[in-house]
Amino acid sequence: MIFNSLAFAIFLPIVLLFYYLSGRRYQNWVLLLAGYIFYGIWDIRFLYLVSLSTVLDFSTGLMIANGRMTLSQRIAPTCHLLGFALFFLVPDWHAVKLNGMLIDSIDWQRLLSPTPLGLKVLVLSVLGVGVAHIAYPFIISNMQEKIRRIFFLRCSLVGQLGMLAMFKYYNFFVTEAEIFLKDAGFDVPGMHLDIILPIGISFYTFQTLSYVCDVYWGKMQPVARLRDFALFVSYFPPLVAGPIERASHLVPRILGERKVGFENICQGGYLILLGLVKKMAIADGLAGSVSSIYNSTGDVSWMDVVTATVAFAVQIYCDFSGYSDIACGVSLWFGIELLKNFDQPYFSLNPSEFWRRWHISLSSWLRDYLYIPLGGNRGSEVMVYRNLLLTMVLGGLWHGAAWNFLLWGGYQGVMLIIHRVVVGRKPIEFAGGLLYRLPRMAFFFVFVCYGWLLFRATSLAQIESFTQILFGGFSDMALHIKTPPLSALLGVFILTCIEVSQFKCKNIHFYARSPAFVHGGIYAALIFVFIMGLSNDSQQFIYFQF
Amino acid sequence: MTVSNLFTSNSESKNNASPEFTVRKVFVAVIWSLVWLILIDVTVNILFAMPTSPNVLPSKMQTFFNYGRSVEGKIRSMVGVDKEATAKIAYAGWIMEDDTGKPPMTASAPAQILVAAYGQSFSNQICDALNEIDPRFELRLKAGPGATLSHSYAYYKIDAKHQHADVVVLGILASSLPYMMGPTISTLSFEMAAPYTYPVYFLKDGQLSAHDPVIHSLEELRTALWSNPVLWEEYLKLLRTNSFTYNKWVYDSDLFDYSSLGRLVRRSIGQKHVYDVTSKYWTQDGFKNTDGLLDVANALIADFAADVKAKSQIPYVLLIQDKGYKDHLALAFESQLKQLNIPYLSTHTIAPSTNYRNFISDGHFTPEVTKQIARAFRDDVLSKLDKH
Repeated sequence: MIFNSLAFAIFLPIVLLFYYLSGRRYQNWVLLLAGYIFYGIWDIRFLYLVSLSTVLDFSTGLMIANGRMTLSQRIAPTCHLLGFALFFLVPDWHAVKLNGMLIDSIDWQRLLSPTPLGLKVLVLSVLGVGVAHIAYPFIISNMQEKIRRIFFLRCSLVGQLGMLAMFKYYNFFVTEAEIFLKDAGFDVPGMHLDIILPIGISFYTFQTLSYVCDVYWGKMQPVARLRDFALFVSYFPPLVAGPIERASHLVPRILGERKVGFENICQGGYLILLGLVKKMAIADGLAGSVSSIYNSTGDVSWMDVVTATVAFAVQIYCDFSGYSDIACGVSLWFGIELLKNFDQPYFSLNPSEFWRRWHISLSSWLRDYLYIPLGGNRGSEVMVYRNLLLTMVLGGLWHGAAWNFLLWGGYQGVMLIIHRVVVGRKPIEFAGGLLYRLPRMAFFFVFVCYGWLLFRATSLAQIESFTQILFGGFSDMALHIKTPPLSALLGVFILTCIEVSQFKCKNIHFYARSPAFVHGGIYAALIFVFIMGLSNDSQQFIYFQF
Repeated sequence: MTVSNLFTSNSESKNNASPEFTVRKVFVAVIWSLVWLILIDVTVNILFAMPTSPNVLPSKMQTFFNYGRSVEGKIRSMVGVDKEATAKIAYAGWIMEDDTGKPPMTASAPAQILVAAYGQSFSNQICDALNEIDPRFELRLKAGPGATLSHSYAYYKIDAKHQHADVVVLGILASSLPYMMGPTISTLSFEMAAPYTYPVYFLKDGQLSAHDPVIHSLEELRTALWSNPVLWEEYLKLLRTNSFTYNKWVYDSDLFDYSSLGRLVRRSIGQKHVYDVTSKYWTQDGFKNTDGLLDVANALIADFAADVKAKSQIPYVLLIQDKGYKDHLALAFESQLKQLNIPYLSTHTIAPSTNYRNFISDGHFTPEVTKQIARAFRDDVLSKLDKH
């Protein structure tokens, strides 16, 4: 289910209705069920992975912090995992044909025939759970605290990163290894697996990893009830494309009292509208123009590459920040504030500032769980550069298993290093007004855009040819890019006005202080562009693939 | 920076003095937004109103805000009560017996080659380029805007007894192939609806059969629209029952036609409709045989070729792969074309549909590319005619 779909437009009011009508006790149940439906609509089988992730980190978190689990804390994850395997993996759910959110037809015979994969996973799950239950008394009586804590941390890391590696990176590395070995003259059998990348796996994996690390470092207490932890993992607004929530931020909001005030409704509504405009009017509108150059098999000109890359810079910002805005807006309607994921990144003057404004939940995650454990700013300058480069390369790899993402990550790392070399350890923040910032912003934007070229390119050969065109293709200045629709052009103009006002006021809800006719005018302009954008070809959110 | 000071949410209530959202303030703002929306609607309607005469070319903005008008609304403004009030485009594409009597019927001299082509603007442009690069080729062109295979076939059937061409061309356009599942292209090509009709072919016991389109000419359409509501209802009934491409929200006129915002909403419904219908018959991997689309198309091609060969003419199929359709027509029809020994040319081999440089902004091939295709077409035809 995607935010800009009719299915979600029906789903959300139903969830809200149940949520508001339920007592506080049952609201989390509503959200948990909604999260599973939201995720299961894509492919119900992957709910097992969500369950595995939930159960693994719920148990390891408790074992790290407390060294023991109560009987109910052991039974609940057992039932959860086996139940999910039995219900979501064993039946052949392909027998159920959906028409939107409605069931079109059910082939009962096929549905009730167990799938070989489901049975295998069920047996493995039973074995895994059995081993855990048998080993439990031994662990609590014989394992020293320090060893136990490290053991369970490693269990979590191996389990979570193993799942990520299996589903996201296995085929890439195997294919590359096969190519390498074949080039070297070895005859290797095909080891490519026919597996689908579960949507949003990188997001919820990082989210749960942060929980285990925080528990290990003593930054938070473990969650005592499985249902609360399950909601932390499967809370649907940020589930598939972020923001990557921190347990220490989201769990207290799940456990604590929450009120949905009028302010939440208004702010949430504005964020949803703004997000829809960014996504549907601008990002989807520009997608065709960008593809007309990046997916073209023919020659392209200097102007084509430049225009398409700038368009992609706008597209990816609107696509991703649009999703985050909608997620934050929807979440506000449940009385839960999510982390801020974007803070006007194209107003940045340097790479360091850019990474404090772009995909903040990922960059701060990488900093806290990778860069700092690697040594961070401590040690020699060379070690700091190594840490920066490694963090950014792995950050690039987080986006996907492809060389261009690695290159993009490396490029960002090199930019950060160069910036550090030029300005020193403690850069002075630029204090000038927007007009004075503009030339520096434009200068840095050029470098950001080259990064997006690396990111968007369909192959290494395309990166090479586009780079050659950029540096030497001045003879051909013809423009062949597909003209963006009016909604995208008008949307970019209105968004620019909004972002400038937001930057000046330093508040995303700046409009609320305006006179009523301006306040209403902003709503009207956004609604108008949104309606125009409804006609654009609907594209999947770019970050879903990560 | 520690973890705790990262927790800035989009509501920013902690770090910034959040503006107050009182019920009164927001209520007034919402009222203002409604006022603004009404003003926008009225302003757009005034500024970008379509020209009163259907023969005056509208501006790009006028066209843009008219895209979402219902097909019926467009047809009614396009086809007036008389000729003066009727747009030129409304005359295009009708399959009329009267039109078939026009010359050339045969090649003007033994050294000349008459090519009779049935297709659309793409096939016309390729044939025009053929004539330009080799004047030995004379042309008899019958086409409809964005015409589908069934239209071209039906036109050939009517025209066949009048022409004695050396080469008979059937132009198949990739993007318009699914249009043959209805009697008019306007149900899918709703933004630039053209009113002409054609039969809907289907296979019955392996034999080609057709649903009559009820309305066969512009005159009949005019009558149905303005003086014979029974005929119009009969036509709508045909669309509702025998067209896989009809959607009442897109086709039937209603109040949305009077509001620019309403038209934008309808346009989005139309786009979704087009996407849904198209994806039934075509995916990124090629055409699908949903509702027998490819079976019927193959049957039409086979019947066309057999008919042409029976008259000792050369049948020729132009597989015109427009922007984004890769070589999907070739994938769909190549095996039969080879099996039945029907000469054909797939434009994708000369001008890949994935290279956007091969196309101009309206989706047609660039003149240079059109000439390249025409040259390849000429060489192939000459080899078949053995008239080098």
